[in-house]
Amino acid sequence: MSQILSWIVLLPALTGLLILLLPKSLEAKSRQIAVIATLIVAALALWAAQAFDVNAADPLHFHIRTEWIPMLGIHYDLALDGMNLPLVLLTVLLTPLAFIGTWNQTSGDSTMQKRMSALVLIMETGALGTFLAQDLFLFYIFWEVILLPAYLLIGMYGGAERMKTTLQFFLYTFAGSILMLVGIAWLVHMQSQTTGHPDASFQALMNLKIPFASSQGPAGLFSTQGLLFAAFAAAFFIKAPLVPFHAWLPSTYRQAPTLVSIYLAAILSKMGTYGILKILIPMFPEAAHSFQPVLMSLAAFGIVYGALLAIVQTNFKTAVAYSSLSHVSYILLGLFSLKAEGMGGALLQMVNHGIAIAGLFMISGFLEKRRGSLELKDFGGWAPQTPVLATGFMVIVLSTVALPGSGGFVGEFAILIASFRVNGYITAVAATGMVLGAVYMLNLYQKTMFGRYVDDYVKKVADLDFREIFVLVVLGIFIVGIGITPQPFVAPSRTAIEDSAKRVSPNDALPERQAVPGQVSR
Amino acid sequence: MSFSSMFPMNFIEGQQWLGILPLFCMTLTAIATLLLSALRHQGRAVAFAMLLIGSIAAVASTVVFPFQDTIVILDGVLVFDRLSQVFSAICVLAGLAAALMTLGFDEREELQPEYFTLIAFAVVGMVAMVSTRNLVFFFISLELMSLAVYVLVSMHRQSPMAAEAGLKYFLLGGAASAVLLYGASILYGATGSLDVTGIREAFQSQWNGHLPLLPLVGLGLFSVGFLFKIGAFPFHVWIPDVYTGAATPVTGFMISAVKAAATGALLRMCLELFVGPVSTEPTLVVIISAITVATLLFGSFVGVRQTRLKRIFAYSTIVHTGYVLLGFLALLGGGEGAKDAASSIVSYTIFYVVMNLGAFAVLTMISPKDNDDLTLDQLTGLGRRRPMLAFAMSVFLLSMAGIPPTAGFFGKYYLFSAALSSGYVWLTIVAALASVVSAVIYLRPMVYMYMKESEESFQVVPAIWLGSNIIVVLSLFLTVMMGLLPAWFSNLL
Repeated sequence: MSQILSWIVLLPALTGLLILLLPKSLEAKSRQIAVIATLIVAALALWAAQAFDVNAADPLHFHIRTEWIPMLGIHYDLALDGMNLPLVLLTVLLTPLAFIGTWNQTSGDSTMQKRMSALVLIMETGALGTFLAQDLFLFYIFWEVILLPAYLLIGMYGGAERMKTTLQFFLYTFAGSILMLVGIAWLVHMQSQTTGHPDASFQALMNLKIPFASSQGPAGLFSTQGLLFAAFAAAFFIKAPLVPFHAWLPSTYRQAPTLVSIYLAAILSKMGTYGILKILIPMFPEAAHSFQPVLMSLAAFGIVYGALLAIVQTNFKTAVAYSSLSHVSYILLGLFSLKAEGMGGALLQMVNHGIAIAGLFMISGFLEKRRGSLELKDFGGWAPQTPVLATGFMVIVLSTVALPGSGGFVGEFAILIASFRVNGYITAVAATGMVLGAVYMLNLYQKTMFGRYVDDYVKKVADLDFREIFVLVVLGIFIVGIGITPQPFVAPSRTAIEDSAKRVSPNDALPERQAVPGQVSR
Repeated sequence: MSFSSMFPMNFIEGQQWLGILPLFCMTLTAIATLLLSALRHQGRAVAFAMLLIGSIAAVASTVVFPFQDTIVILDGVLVFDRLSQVFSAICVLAGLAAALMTLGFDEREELQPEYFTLIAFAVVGMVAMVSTRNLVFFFISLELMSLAVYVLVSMHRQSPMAAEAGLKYFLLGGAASAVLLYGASILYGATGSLDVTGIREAFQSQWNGHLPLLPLVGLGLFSVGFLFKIGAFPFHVWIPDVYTGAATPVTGFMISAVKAAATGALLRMCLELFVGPVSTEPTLVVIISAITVATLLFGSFVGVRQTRLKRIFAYSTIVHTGYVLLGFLALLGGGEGAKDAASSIVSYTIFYVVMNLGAFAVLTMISPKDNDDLTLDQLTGLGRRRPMLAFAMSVFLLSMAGIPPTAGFFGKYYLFSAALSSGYVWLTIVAALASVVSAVIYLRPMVYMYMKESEESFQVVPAIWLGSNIIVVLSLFLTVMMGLLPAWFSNLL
């Protein structure tokens, strides 16, 4: 069991490669194999999670560390810690659900099923590896593993404009990650200059003192730490994305097949926000502190901008894409507050958003499958015909608008409190996003489920089948569960996040009374 | 009768024979295949077998007797060390690979047995090139290689472009060689030495590292020859036309072996010549930086718009030259970073040769019978028709784009890392951004292979491409393994 994390990370990709080699006669079974593999991975991850000890002296659980490239100080270094635990659980939970929830939509020819399952499994390996890596270089390798399958999936099985979209997606994310690569090479070089031997592990790099010009403005950006911050920020802000690095997002989410849209919005965007939490803020604290006003303003702007654009969309999937942009901006606002409760709330919100956006994209898939279109003008009056779909959709809408009792409420509330302690004006702008969020979500719901129907097709629309119901039920359980008892998702990361917060603002002691809502004080 | 009494070369003794073995094997092979083709007109198989045996013997000698110290013969006319061994092995193997690729190509075109002779002679030139400190001997070996390659390019008789390409290459290459020779003569005039070690000593003793105009001009003109062969920016114009005109295996040979030899020789010259303050001469650094940036940007931006595969690879090789130049800049920085830079250049060259040979082996196999100047349109649907070949091609393309876990990624990382260690932060950022643009070059063939619907599928020659298949499989294996276990390969060097 000491290698359990290796199994969790590598099993999906190995299964994916196996599926690619399946002979023609067995191709039809590829999705079943994929689901079984992801369920095994989920079981392993759950076992590891229940063995996780919040009070352990060493925060790194199931630590594996082997030399990989000694001359560059690079290790194969995986560990489960408080910060990545929620995201690992999110990934292993959503992957099988994404397969099951899109079962009927990927019923093309068997070669397509084979390739799709294999590539999505490889993406799961990339995501899990990114979250579990404790070595910066290894983090980068897994980060890049995602890129190619996503590129191929959108390009091969996406909508009409898939080739242009996928190239745009690839170039944006590759530009970000190649700058991060330069940053990594530079950091490791500095580390090796300081200590005499190169070591790319997070722990070694955290101890590095990186010079920063403390004055405001461009001098800070062009100092060593400022440039490194920019290099890493390029990768994370594009992936998350933070406005104005989002230009790839609407068309990519819209053109991608549903399965891939779910993966992009629910899991891949979390890689960006996780990178900010795990690397960007603790490693470059002075730079993060110095750029905080700009970053918070951009995040608040993103919340409102995404919400306003979501309101005016005429296509269901594009509206969901912009809503995702708006909600990811909340997460970013929480992170850039640089307060422990804000970052904790952001981490919780990463899980919430992952679940809710996966639900929304699944609903979009259900609608598209039944209607053959996602233009809002083609919808209306579905609720009487499809009561189960209407109910499931409602639960996800309520989580998205952060209704108290849903997971979204706990996270967004913590984020807004932390943000308010930093800057009241920015928070006021951001808070309007909650109202606008209700507007576009309820608007989407009304235009599809209520109102008058366009023609008689509605009478023939079938309600959800058992697979689709199963997926929505599981998502619903998690939405309500996190809303009522958020502790299990918040407690493990508490120490790590407080350490990060202390690095950024050492004089900013956190009063015990204002602890993150729902957290048990120790 | 002992060997030494047969060839009374008293100046070469004992262990020195080991050093000269690769050169000796390849020369013998070249002469033997030449005689064979004079005697029998249809001796392709025998000629190939000779080349195979000679190449294996040459490579084996570098593997069996790895040198730790330097063997100097004839006052530096021939120098054998680990560097020359590694680059000799690369060039010999690349030559063998080019020969293997033609085994199926022969069915489409009568390539004479002289083809193998010319490859062998070119390889002799390359091995000599990377193992000399003497400027005149260097010039002779460069010309030996170039003359053989000029003929190889024009040998593609079915293509109307081949003769044009050969002539263009000959004229431009001749001009570059003349400039190089002129530079060498100026260096000789300024320092009184034709030996690189002597020139370096003169640099240090006469001018204390700060060169006046005359030797600087000499150095500059001498470098032009190198920059021409590796295809750096203002001297790259021949590359697209010549690569398109030559037969695909010959292009593969040029893109891998010729470039590796030029890189190896340049590496030797830099290591031996630029030590101390000469290397950090500001004018020199500024000029090389400018050439690097121009090469990277030109290759990437022009390459993006190409529609014919060989031209795509031609521009791709220009971009790769830019990366290697980045490594050379780091090398000139001196100090601890220089050692890393040298090893990063060697690793990168190996990775680069492997993935290009693989890509060209695939290209030879998918080209239609009458015309081997493939366009992107002709790749349409290859992912469905030939899934394995398309997969292999994708891996090579991704490796060239530098996407992990492939060899190309680590090659690029080593170079970036070396450049950063020597303080070239902005240049590295430019190179990184250029690699984003150049990623488009490599992604476009994949778009055609996997994402476009094919209206009509063109005919694929149902030939048995044993030779090319071997190269594809080997290159694929190496590209992936070097990406997964780079440390293991670095330890081999």
